[in-house]
Amino acid sequence: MERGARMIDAISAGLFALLTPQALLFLSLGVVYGLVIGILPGLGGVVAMALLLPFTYGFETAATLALLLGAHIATIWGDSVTSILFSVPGSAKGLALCFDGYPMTKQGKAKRALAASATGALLGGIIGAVFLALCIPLIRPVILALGPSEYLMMALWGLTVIATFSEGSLMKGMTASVLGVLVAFIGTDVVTATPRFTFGNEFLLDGISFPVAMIGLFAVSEMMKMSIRGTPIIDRSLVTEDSTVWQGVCDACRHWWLVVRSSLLGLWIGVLPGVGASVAGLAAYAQAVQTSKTPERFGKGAVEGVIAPDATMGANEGGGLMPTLAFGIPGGESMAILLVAFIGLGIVPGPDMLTKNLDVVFSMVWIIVFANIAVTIIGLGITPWLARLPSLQANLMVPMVLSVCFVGAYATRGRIEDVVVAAVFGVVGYLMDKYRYSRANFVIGMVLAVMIERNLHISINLYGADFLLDRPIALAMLIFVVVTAALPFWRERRRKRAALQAGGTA
Amino acid sequence: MKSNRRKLLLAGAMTPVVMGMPLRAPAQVPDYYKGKTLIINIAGSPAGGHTRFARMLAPYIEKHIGAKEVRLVNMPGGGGLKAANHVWRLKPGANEVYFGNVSTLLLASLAGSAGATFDPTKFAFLGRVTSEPRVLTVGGKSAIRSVPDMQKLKRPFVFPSQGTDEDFYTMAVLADALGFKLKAVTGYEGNADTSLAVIKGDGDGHITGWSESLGAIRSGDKFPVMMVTSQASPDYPNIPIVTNIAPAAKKSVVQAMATILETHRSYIGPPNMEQQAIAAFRAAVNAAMKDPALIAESTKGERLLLPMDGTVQQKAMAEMARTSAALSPILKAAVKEIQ
Amino acid sequence: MSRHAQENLISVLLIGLFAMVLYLCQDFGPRARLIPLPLAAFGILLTLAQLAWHNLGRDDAAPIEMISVDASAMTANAEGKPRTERTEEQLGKWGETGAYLIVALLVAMIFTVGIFPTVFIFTAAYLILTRYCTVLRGLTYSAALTASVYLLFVAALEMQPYHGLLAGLLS
Repeated sequence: MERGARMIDAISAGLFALLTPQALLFLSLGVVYGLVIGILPGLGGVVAMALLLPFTYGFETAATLALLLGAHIATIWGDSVTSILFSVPGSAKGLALCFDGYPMTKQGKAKRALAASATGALLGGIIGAVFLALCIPLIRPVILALGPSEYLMMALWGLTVIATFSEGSLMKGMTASVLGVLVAFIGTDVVTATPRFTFGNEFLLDGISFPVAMIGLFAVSEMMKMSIRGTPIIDRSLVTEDSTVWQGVCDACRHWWLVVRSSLLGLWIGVLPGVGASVAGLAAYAQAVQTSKTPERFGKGAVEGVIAPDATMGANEGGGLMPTLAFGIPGGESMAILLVAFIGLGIVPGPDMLTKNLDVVFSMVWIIVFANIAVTIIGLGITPWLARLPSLQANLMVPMVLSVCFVGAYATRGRIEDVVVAAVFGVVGYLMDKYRYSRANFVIGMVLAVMIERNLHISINLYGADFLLDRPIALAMLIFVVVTAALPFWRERRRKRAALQAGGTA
Repeated sequence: MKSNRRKLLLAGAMTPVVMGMPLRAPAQVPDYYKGKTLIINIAGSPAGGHTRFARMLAPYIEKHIGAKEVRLVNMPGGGGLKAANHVWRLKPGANEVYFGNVSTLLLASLAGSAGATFDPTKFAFLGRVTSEPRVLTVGGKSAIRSVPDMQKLKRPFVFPSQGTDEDFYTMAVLADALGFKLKAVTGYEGNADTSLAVIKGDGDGHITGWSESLGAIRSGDKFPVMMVTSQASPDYPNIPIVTNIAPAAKKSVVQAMATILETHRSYIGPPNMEQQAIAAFRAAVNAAMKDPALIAESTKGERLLLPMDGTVQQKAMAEMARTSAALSPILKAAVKEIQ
Repeated sequence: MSRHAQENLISVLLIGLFAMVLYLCQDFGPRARLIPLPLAAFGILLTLAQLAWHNLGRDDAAPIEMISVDASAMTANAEGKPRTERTEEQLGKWGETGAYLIVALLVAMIFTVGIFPTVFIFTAAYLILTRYCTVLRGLTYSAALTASVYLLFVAALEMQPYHGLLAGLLS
């Protein structure tokens, strides 16, 4: 009883701390700044937060957190925008949005896709925040129950999406993934300190930067294609933009059950410190395909394929706070930066946080909610303008987008060699598209490769080669992965058989 | 927003001037760098910790060294190796130095890492800015409570690690010096991941910075077994210091390791750096470290300073170079073990 | 070269690539090659199977019954039909060579004159040479783009611009 009252006190104290002019101003500044960074290629939320950090000393706790978290949350939707409009994911998080968002744009449904994605992220963020608040007492045991073997299973689940994107030839699709995995292995292997495929080159020791490879594979190659065709992404004489923002908002609300499932998945992935947000988007997409009654619509502009990843990533933010709060150890790079801010504010993160500083925790929950609302309002407001971009003439788009992409590739790590990497991947992406080796599969392989390798090695090293027998949760997850991966195939077979029988009886 | 940021920038830039000038005029400004542009190559990305320190320090170095301009250049890559290789290859007379973690350079070279094309002891050591004492912790529920417990274990001591970083090498040296069996499990994603592994009991223990583990130690999630430092501190009165408990035969190896770890965040110059330049730089670092405005700023931003004079560092390095022959095979064997 | 021959060439190149990976893996320890080695072997098998399928008549047909999701629809046209093979007539005057040249030129320019001059010159030249707009407008547009990219990346995001090899030689 007393605990409940304390909780309610903390919830309201957290809210009031945020309702100061300074905090609200900082929140809006953070959100606008995050949106811009998210839209720029190659730069993600970590950069956004790191650059803001020096400006946070000396302000109210709630204001500082509002600035940092607001910026971080806004980058997510910023990433989605470029994925949907140009099939150019700004970072690994936006990848899943290319699968259905871009086809929607090409079909003249850009407004609907953008609105659905923004609303999905909002609902996901709110559901994530509510569950975060409810689950606070459960955080520690949950985190302690999971480990490398379970992370491995999460990555394998992400891998099952490959079958979805195999463009008619499963062999070409799988070859693309194999290539992606091998590219991810370029550089110093973290497990064994072996330089792999570096040919003695100092630059390659650090590996191929993931955002740079994506800029090349998607953006540069699309611009190459556009310079050849000479027509814009959407030719307005053939396709008219006939969707509305309202349709997108309704879509996200109509698929509420998908939103809830995706949000819980995002929260779950956020809690696991070894699983990144890039996996979250892919796993959300896999989940949406596998639970859909009509999986054949995915990859061709199904609005569910836009809603699910955004809802998951919206909720993921709340989950990502958990390890930071419960143990004082950051769940990811962005949380590490938040940790620095905490220490600057004189707050020691850790179990104490959930007792002594509970109001700060709830301030953060409120910030997540408010930041998501702000992003969605701004997002829905600018959607009609954004939706016009894909119909810009090719001869204007090509030089501008190419220039920005190469600047972005360089800015990612400040290394000039990355410009060459972006160009090489641009050509590779162009050839892959031409000969129908799925670029999406390549990137999925690249994202998941290192995670699978790390966690496989750790699992074998800790529990032996038969580690699954030692880890019942991992085993259950593996069974789940196999079943959900097989489900669409089984449904398809049953549907065909039913159609055949129907044809036979007719 | 831009104007807001500019105001903040301006305010940040003004503080040291306003606070520092009346208190202490720049004592003797050594002439070497007068009118020159000094380039400080930061071994890390603009988002990283080294950059935050370098930015805080730059105006004070500029003030005390008398250079026309101090330019910060980020040179991330290979865990500092790119920047170190760059500084190693500089032509004489280039006014460039390296700023970042020097311990990793020393260890990478001793372990024979691909990419380390320098002899770290030949760099000009210009002064340390800060250092973080390293602590070996075990899980709060672990049966291990002391070094003898580790030595008595009937199985290897399981050490979750991110990869071949400083802590990995330190652990290998500790296992050799203190005589316990070690099993390094590499591949963890970051400190959060290794910390959780230790708290859960998947691993026995690991080494972190003192402040990183302080919260977990206080809450009982972790238990400190020893400090990997050469000196005791009132911050941790009851934790044994490794140099005190190592057997006599292994003392020099452990001391060399502690010296390496304690070089931490320092300025170093190219091997052919002119004596005048070295002297001027060391003097400027020393003066900056005593600047009340910098001390105030570092306390406010929780970026604490723990300076060490460049001359002292250079001496310690010469000492370390003598014992490193014993270190190198241990490090190389540890790397071989995980491959 | 016919499309059929091009596909075969790609497969052969891929086999060569995977074989090289296999060869390079020989230098790694057992743990470092635990995943790449079998994966490269698997890649060779996949490509060989693809090669066989391609040349034994069942070109591009789905060899395994699977859900008919098609990622080529990511570039599908309005009716949702997967894009068919591009014909030569659809290519611009310069065709593919032009696209490769543009990318190569852009990279070469960045290395010689640095990032921001390249952004300005490249954009202006492209706009003017493709007759998208008049010379004056082209220059104005590219100046505006260069200025905003500079403001965003250098002023706001504190990127240190790359000045190119030419600047190094001159100084």
